[in-house]
Amino acid sequence: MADLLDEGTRGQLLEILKELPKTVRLIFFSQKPESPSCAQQRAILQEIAEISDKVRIERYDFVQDRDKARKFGIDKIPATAVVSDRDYGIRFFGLTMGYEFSSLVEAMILVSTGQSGLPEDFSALVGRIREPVHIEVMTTLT
Amino acid sequence: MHAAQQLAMANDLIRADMVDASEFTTLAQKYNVSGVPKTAINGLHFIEGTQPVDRLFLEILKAVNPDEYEKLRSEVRAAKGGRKVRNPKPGHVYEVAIIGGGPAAMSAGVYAARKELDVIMIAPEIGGQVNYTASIDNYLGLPGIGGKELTEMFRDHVERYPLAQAVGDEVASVQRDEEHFLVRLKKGVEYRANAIIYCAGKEYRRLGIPREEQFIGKGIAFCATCDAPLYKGRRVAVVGGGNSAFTAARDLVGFASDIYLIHRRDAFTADAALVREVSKAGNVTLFTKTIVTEILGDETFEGIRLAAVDNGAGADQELKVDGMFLEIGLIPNSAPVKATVELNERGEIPINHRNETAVRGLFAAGDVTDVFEKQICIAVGDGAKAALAAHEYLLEHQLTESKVKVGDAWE
Repeated sequence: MADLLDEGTRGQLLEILKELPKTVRLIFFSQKPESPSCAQQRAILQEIAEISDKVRIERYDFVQDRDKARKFGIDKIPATAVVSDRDYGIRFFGLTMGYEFSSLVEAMILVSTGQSGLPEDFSALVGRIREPVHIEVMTTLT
Repeated sequence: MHAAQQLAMANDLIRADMVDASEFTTLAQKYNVSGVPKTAINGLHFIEGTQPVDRLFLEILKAVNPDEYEKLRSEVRAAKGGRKVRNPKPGHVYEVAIIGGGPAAMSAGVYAARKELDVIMIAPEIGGQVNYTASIDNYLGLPGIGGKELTEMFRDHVERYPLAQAVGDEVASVQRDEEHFLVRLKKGVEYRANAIIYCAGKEYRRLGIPREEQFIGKGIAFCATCDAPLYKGRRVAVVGGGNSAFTAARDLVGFASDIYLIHRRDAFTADAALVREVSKAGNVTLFTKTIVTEILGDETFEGIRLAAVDNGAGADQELKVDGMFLEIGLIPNSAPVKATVELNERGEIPINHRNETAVRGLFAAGDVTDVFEKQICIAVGDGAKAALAAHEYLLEHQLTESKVKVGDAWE
C-alpha cells in the first residue's frame, strides 16, 4: 500500500503520538471482501499505528464479529472506534482523510489523556444531560 | 466537530459519530443533508453548520431535556440580572393572581408587573398550546417564528419583572369569599388574591374511552408536527375529520408506514384541498362512520378497537397501531371557575370589552374566554387589557398599594 501520509505529516504525527499518556486502540470494522473505502481506511489506520507504538489497531469483521460490532455500536462500515482503556463513545464512519484526519488525531489525544479539555464548570453542566444522546456529525472529506 | 467529541468525553451518556455523508448517502438523504457539517441528535433533531461546544451542548439539552434546558436558561438569566422572578408564598394575599402560562397570561404578567402590582402567575407549564405549534406565520413582526421560540421570548420578557411564579401544578378551583379570591391547586397548595386574571387557555379534547389518560405520551399524542418523526416506519392512527386531523395525517405521510384516519361522521370538515392531498398518499386509509372504543395492550400501546356507527360499513375490528393522534378539537380549561362564574354553551367564560367577567374582580383573557377568534395576538392583546382593567379595579377599590396611576402612560 502506498504511503498515504506525506513525510511532514508523519513527522508531526510522531511528535504528537509519542506524548500520548495512554495507548490508543483504533478498533476497525470492515467486511471481507473489503470495499475500496474499507481497504483505504484500514491503510490509513495502519500507517498511523506504524508511526508510534502508542497506537494499536484491532481489526474485526462486521459480519463474523457481530458481537463486537454490537458492543461498539457499529451499524455500518468502514467504522473506526477510537478507544483507550475506556470507551468514551467516539466513532468515525467512512474515511478519516482531509479535515477528518485532524479530527481523528484530536480524538486520539482526547481518549489517550482522558480529558475533554473543557473548563471544569462547563463539564459539570454537560453532566446535566442524563439521557443517552447519539450525536452524528455529517461531514464530507474536504 | 471537535465539540461533539469533547461532549462525549465529558459525559458517558453521549456518543459522538463522525459520519462521511458521501460514503453513507442513504443516511445523508434521510437526514436531508444539503450542507455540511450537519449534526443529528438522536436522529430526530438537527443543527446546521459548525457549532461552538457551548452552543452544541445547549442545543442537545434543549432537544433531550427541555425542562432542564429551561432551568439552566433561567439560572443564566438570573445570574446576569435579567430574571427577577420570585418564589411563591402560599397563604400570602397577592394583589393579582394570573392563572395560566400562555400568551394571554404572560402579557397580563408584563402589564400587571409594570403597574407594580403584587403579582403571582400560577400555571402547570409555561407556553401552553403555542409550544405545540411548529411555526407561526401570523404574529406581527415575527413571521415564521417557532412556537417554542416565541414562548421563550415571551417568558424572558415577563420574567424581567419581579412577579412570583408557581409553575408545575394545575389549578383545581378559583372561589370568591368575602374578602379575596382563593386559588386552590390540585396538590393542595392555596394562594389568595384581591383580583384574578384567568387565562388558562384550552387543551386537546380527549375521546373519553377507558385508560386514555394512562397512555397519553405513551402511544397517544396530540402534536403530529412534533412527534411524527417518532413514528418512522410505524403504523399510526389519526382520529378526527377536520383540518387539524388532516394536517396531522399529512405530517405523518413522510414518516409512518401506514396511517389510518378515523372519523365518526360521513363527511370531513377539513379543507377540500387538504383532504384531496392526504387521500392521494398511498399509505393513508380513511375510515368514516367509525369510532375508537378501546385501547389494546396492557402496559404498552398495541392498537385500538374500532366500531362502526350510523350503519357505517366498517365492521368492528382491532387495528394494530403503534400510536394514535387525537385531533378532535380543543376544550376550554374552565372547570376550575365553573362554580364561580357562568360559562357559555361551549364552556367558555363570557367577558366584556374590558375583559371583566360577571364576577367582580375576576378578569379573563385568551382562548378560555368567549372572545371572537382565538389567536396568539388576540390573547396577547386581551391579556394586556385584562391586566390594565384589573389594575384600575384594584385602585378604585383601594385594594392595591401600587402608586402607578391608571393608563399606561407613554414611557
